[in-house]
Amino acid sequence: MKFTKYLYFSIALISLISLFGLYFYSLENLTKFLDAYPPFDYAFQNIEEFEGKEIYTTLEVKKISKEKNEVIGVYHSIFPRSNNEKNLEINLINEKNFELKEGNKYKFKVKISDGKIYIIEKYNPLIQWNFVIEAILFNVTAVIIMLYLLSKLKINFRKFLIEEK
Amino acid sequence: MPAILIHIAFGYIIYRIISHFFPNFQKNIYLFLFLLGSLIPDTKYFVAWITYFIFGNENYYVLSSLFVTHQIFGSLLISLFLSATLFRKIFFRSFLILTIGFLGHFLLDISQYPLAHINHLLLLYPFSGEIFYINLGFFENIALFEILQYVILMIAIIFGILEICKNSLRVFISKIFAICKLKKKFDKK
Repeated sequence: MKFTKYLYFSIALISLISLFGLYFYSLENLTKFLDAYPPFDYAFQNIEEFEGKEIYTTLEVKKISKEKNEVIGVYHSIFPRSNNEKNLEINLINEKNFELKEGNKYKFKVKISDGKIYIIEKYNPLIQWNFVIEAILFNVTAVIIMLYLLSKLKINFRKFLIEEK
Repeated sequence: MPAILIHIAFGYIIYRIISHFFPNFQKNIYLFLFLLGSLIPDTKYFVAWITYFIFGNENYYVLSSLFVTHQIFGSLLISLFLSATLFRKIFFRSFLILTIGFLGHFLLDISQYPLAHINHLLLLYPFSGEIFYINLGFFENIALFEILQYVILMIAIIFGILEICKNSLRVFISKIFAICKLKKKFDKK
């Protein structure tokens, strides 16, 4: 009995340490792969590094300026914004005059050229959800379902164990 | 689309299929494990928040942290950790179910190509930079993956409703049988 206790404890400890190791190893190797398929949130903040690249992104159209063919797109970060609020807004050039509507969310294929971001393709979502409604409907519901299922199980806090009732 | 609900819907479909062939798995704890497994790669958000608080820079550190759990090695380590701590009484089963769950998550994620974030496609990161994807394509400027997501959700809802109906029907029939038996007893008396 004691042997299995120590065995599981060592497995847990080793996996946790390995996870930390993996994190720092990932951190070192991150920039190796960014060139092949740049993530939009990183690329939009470091445009100079990704000159000439084509990137797919999902953005909410905040403002459209038809004279300049400019569109201000916003992406929602999972982090709170204070100092770098403006980083969220991305100026896009709608050279091909795609039909866009303020407040709607679209998926774009963009190209970074001469320090500007040009829209090459536009894809429509199947349903236009409001960001807040979407977040509540697709995240909070899931959390409620998981908590309901958890409530149907027995949680032994003393032994730090989840079992069937 | 923030797809946590879609992922657990897919986890539920996997649970229903597996428990159909292996009735031993028809227990709440296994259902919970399948759903939990399908959420494991998204623990990246917790890791991202932790690194955000530590480094205060969401640009580089957080991006890299987003990768750590959203890859096969990271998810495998989390499954191992959870199985060895919270579910150690059913260690092997829980590890197997959590693994199936997160593989289902990856299957959904890689079919988002080309609109997926890179951390959805670099499954063997940081040991390999190869991207894995299923290109479902587009239909009239709408990504077919989006349609697939709603189909998965609908199937899971139908499965859920059928399960509820089956249970309530079973209770209803057993109650009728009980009433009939009681009636027979009274008639005899």
